[in-house]
Amino acid sequence: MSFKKLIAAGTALAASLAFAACGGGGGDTAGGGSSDQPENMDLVLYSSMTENDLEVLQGLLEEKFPGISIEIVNGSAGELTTRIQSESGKPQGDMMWGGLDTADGDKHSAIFEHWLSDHEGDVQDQYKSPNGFYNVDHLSSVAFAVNNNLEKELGLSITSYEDLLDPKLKGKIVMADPTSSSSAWNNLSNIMAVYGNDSDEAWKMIRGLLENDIVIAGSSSAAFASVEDGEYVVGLTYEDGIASLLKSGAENIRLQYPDNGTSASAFSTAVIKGAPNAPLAKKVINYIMSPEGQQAFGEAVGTVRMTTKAEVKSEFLPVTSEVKWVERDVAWLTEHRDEIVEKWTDVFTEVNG
Amino acid sequence: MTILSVPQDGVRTKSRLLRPDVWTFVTLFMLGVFGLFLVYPLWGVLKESVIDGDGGFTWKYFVQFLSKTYYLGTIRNSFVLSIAVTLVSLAIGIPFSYFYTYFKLRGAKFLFVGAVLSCMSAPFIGAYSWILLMGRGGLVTQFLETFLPFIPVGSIYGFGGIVFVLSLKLFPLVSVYMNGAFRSIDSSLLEAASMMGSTGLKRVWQVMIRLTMPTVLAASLLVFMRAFADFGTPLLIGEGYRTFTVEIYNQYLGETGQNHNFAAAIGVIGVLVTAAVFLIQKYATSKFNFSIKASRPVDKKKPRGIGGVLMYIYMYGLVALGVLPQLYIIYLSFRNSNSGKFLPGYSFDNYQAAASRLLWRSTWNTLWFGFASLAIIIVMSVLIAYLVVRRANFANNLIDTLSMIPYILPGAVIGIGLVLAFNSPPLALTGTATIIIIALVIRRMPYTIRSATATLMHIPISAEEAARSLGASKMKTFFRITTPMMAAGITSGAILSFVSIVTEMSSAILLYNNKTITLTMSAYVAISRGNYGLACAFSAILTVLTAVILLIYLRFTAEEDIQM
Repeated sequence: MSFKKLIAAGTALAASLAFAACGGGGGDTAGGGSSDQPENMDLVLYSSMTENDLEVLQGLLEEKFPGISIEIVNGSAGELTTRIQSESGKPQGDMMWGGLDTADGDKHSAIFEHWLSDHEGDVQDQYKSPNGFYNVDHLSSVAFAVNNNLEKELGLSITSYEDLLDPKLKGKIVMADPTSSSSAWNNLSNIMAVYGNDSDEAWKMIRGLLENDIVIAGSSSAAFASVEDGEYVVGLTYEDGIASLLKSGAENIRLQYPDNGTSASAFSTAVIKGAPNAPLAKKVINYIMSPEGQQAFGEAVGTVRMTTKAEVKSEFLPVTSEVKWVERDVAWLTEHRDEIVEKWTDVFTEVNG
Repeated sequence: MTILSVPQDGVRTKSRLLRPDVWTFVTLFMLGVFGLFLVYPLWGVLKESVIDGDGGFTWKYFVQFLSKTYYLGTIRNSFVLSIAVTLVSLAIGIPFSYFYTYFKLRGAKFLFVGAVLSCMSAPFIGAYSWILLMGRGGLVTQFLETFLPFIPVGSIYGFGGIVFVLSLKLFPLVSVYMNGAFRSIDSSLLEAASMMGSTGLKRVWQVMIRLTMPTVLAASLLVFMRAFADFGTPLLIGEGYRTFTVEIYNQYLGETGQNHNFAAAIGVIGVLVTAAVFLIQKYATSKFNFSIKASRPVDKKKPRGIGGVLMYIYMYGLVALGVLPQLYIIYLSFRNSNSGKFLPGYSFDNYQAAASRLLWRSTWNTLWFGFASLAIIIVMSVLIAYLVVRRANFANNLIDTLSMIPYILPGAVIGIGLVLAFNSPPLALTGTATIIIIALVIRRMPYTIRSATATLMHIPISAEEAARSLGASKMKTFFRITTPMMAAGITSGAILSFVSIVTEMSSAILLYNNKTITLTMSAYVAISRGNYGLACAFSAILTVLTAVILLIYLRFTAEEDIQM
């Protein structure tokens, strides 16, 4: 077949295909979520959690609910909430786990069902739901990922915020972007908690970091993964990212809590409003929030601090009582979040021209 | 001999509205399609840009954008970056295609496939690969520091790095288009030029570049738009070099400080900027309104001497650099890994993990979405090109401009628009394959439209007029005369459309679910879960699959010469 004939034939075929596709092609791949059988065991889980976390949870759920079939749609918290909001005319997912930061306040009030698990009473008092739809299930505490080898080469010992202002670290500290990433916001919040909300000391520290050319990375995971790769000496990040790397066998980095004290963002799980399979989602969340579920998950995954009153032993995290904690004023932070982010943007623009 | 003529538009455009014909209905059909699947969804997004929290009208988001240096800086950065990338891509892409077209090179097919593959690395994973290679702790960086410490090597991060990565990724856009254009130059023109004393580089500049100017401009526009719209690369390796699209992405999909209204306002500014660039390009192209058609193509020469050696070094060096990240990903896909960390030793574990993660479904979806969208794209592009070039009028220019808008808008905005528009009856398409195909067609049609339009401008109208005067109907003339003549030009765009379709991610983020997942989305999901080994396995399969499709294509079309 000559080339021209091939193209002519191709165009004709394309024309017929095009019209076929316009007429509702792919209908057979749709459906799924919207069926309403009574004993439906299909769960669509929107999650921003890592591989490690999802595998553990999936295993536990399959054991607890025989016959369950879990479809996981992964993405960043921002992608997923935007998605839920856009899909509100025809919800596609049942529940969201991870990334729902209690510091978001009532922002997502319209897209989640106002429902709390039967185990709200088993949650530590400071992590009780602030608004009736956040089931606060795990914590994310601020920590430094430090590359031991590079630190040694520079002859430093990095343990506190003040150590980060050393000129030797110029351009070698990394953090995610506070205007888009919750882990970076978590770090700003901790600086506020350590030095005082909106205090001059807090802003002096932030300005100092920017003037020491702190690198703003595109993703939250860069702040620990690229420290492990040797791209940076220190990452301002959260403990479970570092712990996961340690669990995977990383040997050149350590989990360093700031001497000045650390505090945690609380993350939660919720049922999507109008979820096609809300009853199953509620059963699953009841399990996640139960002391039994919290212990099983926390101990199996080993890298995440849980919110339950029950004791959870973790292989990769120090016991809560061994870490120095500072009080975080969540209500104040929630209320002033936009202002802090805006002020951060201003300082950023000023320092970087 | 060469037919060189100026199309006589003025004569044919008179009183079109009074005499509707079959093309008038095509125009109406296209307007309907763009209205429903582009304007209507975007309207939903754009409306947000002037609405405040309580539903009232406001300009405050525009004021906020225009009054802050921080935000204006992102536009400036995007412009500077896109212009730099366009210039570098032209500078490396035009010689590449000149050597490719006029010289008999060994391994020409390999060079072609390599060049096309280098523009297909999916966002995130391609940039991630460059970080592993040339970041501060990168493989290449470490090697150079150890063995060639006297050469000052910087890292990949920042402005220079983005230009480097994007130019390597986008120069194939230039060269694939330019191959077709160079081939359409008739040897008699070049001989005439030599006789008049225009030889060597002078001749290339005075004759060849001018003759191919419509294509050069079309290619520049695509590179510019592509660089302007890209957000994966600046996001990962920008390090503080903030661009416009990263800002929209953050405002729409970021975890903190999301502001959809503000994001929509940035989107509107983006559309205005695109429209301006597009109109400037159109004006520039109209300065070169002539058609050429080679009846005696230039013979290929054998490369000789030191020049020949340098030519081989240039061609293979460029392709090697372009496919380096892909090759590194293929290598990594065989490395043992444990979630976020690569471990010593090699195995097929990543592929086994992929097989348990919807590998077959992803592959199948990638193929069938790819070919279905490509089919629609080819048909629509040919029709649109015809309308624009042969039947220029207000409505058809509008279609042309509309079709370019998706080029600049970040895929996420188009994804959001489509979900908002089609998530409730009568057109409840959310979660179906149809909505993904619509997104793919809208996003990736410009490649084929641009190449089809540029090609048709080269084709004299005389053959069509001959067919019409011999009694062929308008449609018969179009399908039997015009379309076959356009074939070579359409294919170049279609190849690039296809390659970019299979790597499409940003609009799919919001549209896919596990039933409509593709290989690229599987790779992205693996990255966002922090499983880099698995992501590499999916990407490697995608790369190999695309290479195989390209090779099959070349097998079918090429005897001696590769037609593009």
